[in-house]
Amino acid sequence: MIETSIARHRILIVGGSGGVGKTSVSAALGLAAARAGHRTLVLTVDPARRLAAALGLDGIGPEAEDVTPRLNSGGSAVSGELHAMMLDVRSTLNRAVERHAPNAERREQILNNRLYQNIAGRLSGSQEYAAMQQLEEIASRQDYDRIILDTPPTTQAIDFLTAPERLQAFFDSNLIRIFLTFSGRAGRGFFRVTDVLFRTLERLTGAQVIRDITEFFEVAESILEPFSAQSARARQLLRDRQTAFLIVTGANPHQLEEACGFSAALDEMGIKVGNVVVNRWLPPLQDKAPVVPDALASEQLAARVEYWQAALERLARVQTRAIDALEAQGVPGLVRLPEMPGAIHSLEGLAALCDRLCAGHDDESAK
Amino acid sequence: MSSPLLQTELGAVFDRRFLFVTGKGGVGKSLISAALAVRAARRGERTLWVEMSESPRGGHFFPGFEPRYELAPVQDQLWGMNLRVQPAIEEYLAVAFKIPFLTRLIARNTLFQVLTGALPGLDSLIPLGKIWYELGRRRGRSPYWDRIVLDAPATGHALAMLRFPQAALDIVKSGNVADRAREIDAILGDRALTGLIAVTTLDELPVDETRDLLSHVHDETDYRFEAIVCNEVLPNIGQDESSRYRDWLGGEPDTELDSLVAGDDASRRRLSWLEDRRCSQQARANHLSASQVPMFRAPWIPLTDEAELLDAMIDEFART
Repeated sequence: MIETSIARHRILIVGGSGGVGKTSVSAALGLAAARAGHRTLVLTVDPARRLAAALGLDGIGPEAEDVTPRLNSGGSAVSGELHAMMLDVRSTLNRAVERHAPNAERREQILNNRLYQNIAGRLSGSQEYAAMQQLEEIASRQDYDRIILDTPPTTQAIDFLTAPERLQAFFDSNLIRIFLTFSGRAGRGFFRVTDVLFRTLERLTGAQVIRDITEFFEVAESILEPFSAQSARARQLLRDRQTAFLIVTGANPHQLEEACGFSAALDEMGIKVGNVVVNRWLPPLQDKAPVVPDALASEQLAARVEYWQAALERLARVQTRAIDALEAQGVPGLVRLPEMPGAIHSLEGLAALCDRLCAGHDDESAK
Repeated sequence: MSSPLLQTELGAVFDRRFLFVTGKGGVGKSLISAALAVRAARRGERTLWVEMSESPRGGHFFPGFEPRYELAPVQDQLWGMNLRVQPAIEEYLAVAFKIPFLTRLIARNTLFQVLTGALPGLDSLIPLGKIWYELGRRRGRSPYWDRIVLDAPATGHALAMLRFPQAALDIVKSGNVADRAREIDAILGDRALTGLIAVTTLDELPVDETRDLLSHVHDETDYRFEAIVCNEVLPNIGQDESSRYRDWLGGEPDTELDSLVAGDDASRRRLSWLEDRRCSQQARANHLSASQVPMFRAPWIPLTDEAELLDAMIDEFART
């Protein structure tokens, strides 16, 4: 049950592959937490414009916005509070540099370095890294009872977990020390592998890039330790008892298979999965194609109606069988969300999704 | 969809020798690019289908095929590969610097991998360089490949790839990188050779992202997208009798979920839900048409097995 997950965890991380409705589910989850009386924050990345409009986030920057007054005046009153915030990758990373830099000169050197400017926001993994960092900052401030993190859109769900660690490898201080020892002229010799390596890089990229890298590493070393410490705290937070993952997936078999793999991977990493939400499920009807009245029907129309009715029914059964199989494998807290009529573009739509999420739509209504 | 906005016959741009296919994650980019590759192969063209993914889908579409960096036969006249940056760098170093003895040692050095991973543009240069190499290969007097279909990365990375030649030439005027950038620029800018194709579904976010991609590429580069493939276009069941069909379905679509899944007349309401979705798609197609790039229709196919889905899409393309 979704309510149980909300009751037991302060931090809920909503993960899943691109295009499965993660952001909508995160917003609905936030609403559910606010209804349960919690002071709630939904931290999201690049929501659909109409969803943003529904939340009152249209054109607003990375500051937390209080959506509660809109909920209360819009007939969807909550006993808690709902705040929403958009993740700004570059400013999050810049803020960390500002906080961790030992002095103003170092700070400026890093912020103005071309390699850093290229990395901040563009290197794969920086969005995920920033999301984790932002989560850690907010969690440590104790401003909110419930924090819901809508993870950045990735093709594969698992990327969210591996991306920050790949980026961390870049900042690994051992690597940087090695680089510093051989990039200095004094450290270079004719037969050394590192020398060949260095010259290969130079030929590949041009000397200017090498200068940027060298400078970046020279200054980056000074902020590495606080950076790594914060990143380690963020990773710790994922495994904390107060944290649970909520996996959102589409209803087609290959999507469910991927969600199952994601759930197993989280489990292996010691990260708790609270719920698996199957979105966009087409429930079967076991209903015959409707009869097209004579006044309307050409034979072709009647045939098309019958054809598509049967096609939808077949699809519904394939999906339902796959979901049943997933449930039988014992994935935690499976919730089925049937196809919704259209995208969410109002608070009412969000409230309806929230109702469905909490009702945990089971097989009963499909039969 | 009866809309004249969406063409049902694939146009001449799909016959270019190099097809660069991109789109937002989850819209069916791999499906469309695979179907285009099979379409060419079945016409007897020697075709290469190139994925660029950490978790390639080739094995789902073509049971028995294992996508790897090394080219491998997929089916008659069709070869496939998964173009990952790291093995491509090894190959590139061996070819560009003629130092095979040290190449492996260098390319597999952890530090080197981390650095190349962080170097801006290298993940654009290396894959496009590989495509350039394959396009230039000869078999006797004719090209080795009649057709190369690139299942390019999702929009963000694809945009970086298309920006790369100009960005690189702004920084370096001579040397290895500049040479490669000029070669790649010549390919991407050659409208007799290359077709840039965007795939999207007619949903809100993918349409917005596609419009963003097109306006960035058209504003910042000399390249032009010449086709948008709209995937998962819902059927127009009413066709010529659309308005009467809608009247019968009950006018306003029913938004109450429970009435969609239960009750005496659930089938009719589900068709009504489908018709409502189709109308939203039509509205988004209108919105997308502002980009003035020809749009093509790829139907929604109610199948879930990826191999079956590909077969059905190939049949759709073959009909045109």
